[in-house]
Amino acid sequence: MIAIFKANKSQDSPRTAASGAAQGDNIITIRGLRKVYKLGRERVVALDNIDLDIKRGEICCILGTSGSGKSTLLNMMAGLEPPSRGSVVIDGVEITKTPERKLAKFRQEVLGFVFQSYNLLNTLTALENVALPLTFKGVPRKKREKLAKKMLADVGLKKHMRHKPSQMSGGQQQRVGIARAFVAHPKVVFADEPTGNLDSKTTIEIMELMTSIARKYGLTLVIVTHDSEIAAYADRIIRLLDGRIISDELNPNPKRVAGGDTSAAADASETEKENNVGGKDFPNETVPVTT
Amino acid sequence: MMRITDLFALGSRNLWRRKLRTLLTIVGVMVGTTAIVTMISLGIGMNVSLDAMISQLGDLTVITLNEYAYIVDDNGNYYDGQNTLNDELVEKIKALDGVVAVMPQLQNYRYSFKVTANKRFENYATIVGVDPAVLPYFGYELDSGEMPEPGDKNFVLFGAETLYNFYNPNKVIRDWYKEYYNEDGTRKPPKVDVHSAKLEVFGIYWDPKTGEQKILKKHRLNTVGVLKLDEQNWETSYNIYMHIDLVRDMILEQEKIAKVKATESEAYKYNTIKVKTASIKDAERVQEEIKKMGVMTYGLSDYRKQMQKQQAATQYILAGIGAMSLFVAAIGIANTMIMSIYERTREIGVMKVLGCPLSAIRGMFLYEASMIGFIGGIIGIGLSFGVSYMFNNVEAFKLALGGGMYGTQTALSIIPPWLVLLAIVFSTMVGLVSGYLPARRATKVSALEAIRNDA
Repeated sequence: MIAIFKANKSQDSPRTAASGAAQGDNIITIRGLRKVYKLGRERVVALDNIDLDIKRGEICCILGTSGSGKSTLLNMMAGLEPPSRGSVVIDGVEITKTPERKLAKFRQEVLGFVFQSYNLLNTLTALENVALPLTFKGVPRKKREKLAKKMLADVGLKKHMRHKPSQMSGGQQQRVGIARAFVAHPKVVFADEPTGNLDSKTTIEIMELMTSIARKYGLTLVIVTHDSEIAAYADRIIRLLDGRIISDELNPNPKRVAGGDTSAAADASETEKENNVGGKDFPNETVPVTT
Repeated sequence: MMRITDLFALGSRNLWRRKLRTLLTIVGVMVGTTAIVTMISLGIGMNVSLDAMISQLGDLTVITLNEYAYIVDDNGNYYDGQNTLNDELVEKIKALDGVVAVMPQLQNYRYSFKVTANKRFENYATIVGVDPAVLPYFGYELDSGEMPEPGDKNFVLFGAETLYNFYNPNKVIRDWYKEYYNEDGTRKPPKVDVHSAKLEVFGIYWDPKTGEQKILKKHRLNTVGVLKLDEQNWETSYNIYMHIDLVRDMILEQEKIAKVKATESEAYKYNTIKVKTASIKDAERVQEEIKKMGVMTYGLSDYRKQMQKQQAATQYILAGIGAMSLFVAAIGIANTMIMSIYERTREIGVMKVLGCPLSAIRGMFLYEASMIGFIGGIIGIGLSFGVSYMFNNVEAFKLALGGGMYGTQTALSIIPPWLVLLAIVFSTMVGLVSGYLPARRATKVSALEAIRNDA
């Protein structure tokens, strides 16, 4: 599984990834995406003709200040907001043309989300929160709790399964959020300022956790942030300014956890075994070979 | 697709999270359900009381056709009419659906008949010819003696009061009161014991020219019964019943002497036809069908209908009061659900982003709303039984509500099983309907709200 990472790294080209990658390798394809908001009489161009391709297994950071259009881009990629023009295709589905009714199923199958403010359901325990996407899918309780338990162990919260969000720290809540994002084996995980509410120490832990899980399972991770420190964890950094991509470069040396990827969790010693078990649940089909 | 059990579990947890608010909303539904159930139970009580009162007057499933009809139209106006009651009509009525038995009654006022006991005592009570085979259907109850077998042509059934009509025409009576009453005001027993006496019936022909009377053929009456006294029913108290064929023979005998043409014979014209139906509903339908034949009818169900019409106004007002409070409860549910959406906007958005189907979101809200209705309905029913008990058992309420409508001993407030079921289904439906718009609204909550970071 580390092969993906190596493969990306070896593709050490100055060209932008968007223009260079073959169509088949791209899980996200954005063409001519434009979003104009009308504020009274004024028209604000939030996104201006964005073309972007994101490869399978890529950890991609969209970096921009507030107002750069990065959140709008994420919303459109996630199918939360329709564009004024252009298209977004994820895993072969043109989500910009998919009605909301059908998007629910698509989100179940393909997408995972990590939020800045965690957005856990307060009435549910950590375990139930993690199992929620599986609940929506109609997975029976026993099976989904088994999967959720593994996922919680992966993020180092084995002991907090029965806790409610209010009984956990910000960092712990975000770990639950990450477990929830990955539990249903999505193909793409979107993370919107995932560390925005966390201190710097926890930020490092969370970023290491998120990227290591993504790398381990070969998932595509799209992180939207204004924090360039976070960008250092990504394979590829796309900078946005005033609704336009101003730079798109591969990171030749992304930050990673010392000593490998799987034991990134904070209380790693405890979860190591669970991790290995959990790995089997991810079928190999999600691991692309890009060379 | 999300599992329905998971959906219900999520919904229940949401209700539980806001215990007080849920409880208050449930109380609203409970009060509404209690109000409507109690009001309807009073209405039912009124109907039952009315039916009890009417059934004291006679059998509701019996329709009566009289030769000289005394009709009430739909507007409650009375008018006279005349019916032709003959065998043709009897056969037609017999063929109708829901008719159990038809009893034509032959009775004639033009000719005289006399019943004698031991040749000494005479009785001039009205003689009615009936078919003994259908008697049991019309609720003739024996006080003593025996009921006739279907083929018995020589039976007699005395109405309770007719026993007192026997008198000795040869005895000179100075004080009529003393003849029939004891000194303490109680009634003396009848002069004749019909069970042991030798009974005969015969016609008396009055020659219109000479004024002479002629005793016609005498018939022995062997099977003797006395009907139970029913003060509400003068028919069974003041008539003497005999076999219809016997009465017909006696009429024909008179007509033969009087040389009445066959076309003008009264031996086949019935005075009354009674029709027994399987149920009150059948009675109403059969009555309509007989009316279509051009025959005017009278049934207690006519009277019942009219009384019910008068009651309906009161019942509508009662039900209206109940409905109003349930309507207020419905608004309460809708309000609670809308508040809930405002509170849970972010949560709903998150669920959508995580792939929760719109149908599941809608289902969750509908479940919550209908649960409030359902629980409120169940508690409301329980409370209604309490209120109903109070109405029926506390004297003050009985008096205030005009206790025992129509003077019957029936309960003031009655909650039949169907009302229990209906109330629970209805309150659940009220919840469902009140939750519909909020649920739709919930599905329209923007998922964007959820991931907006200004929390």
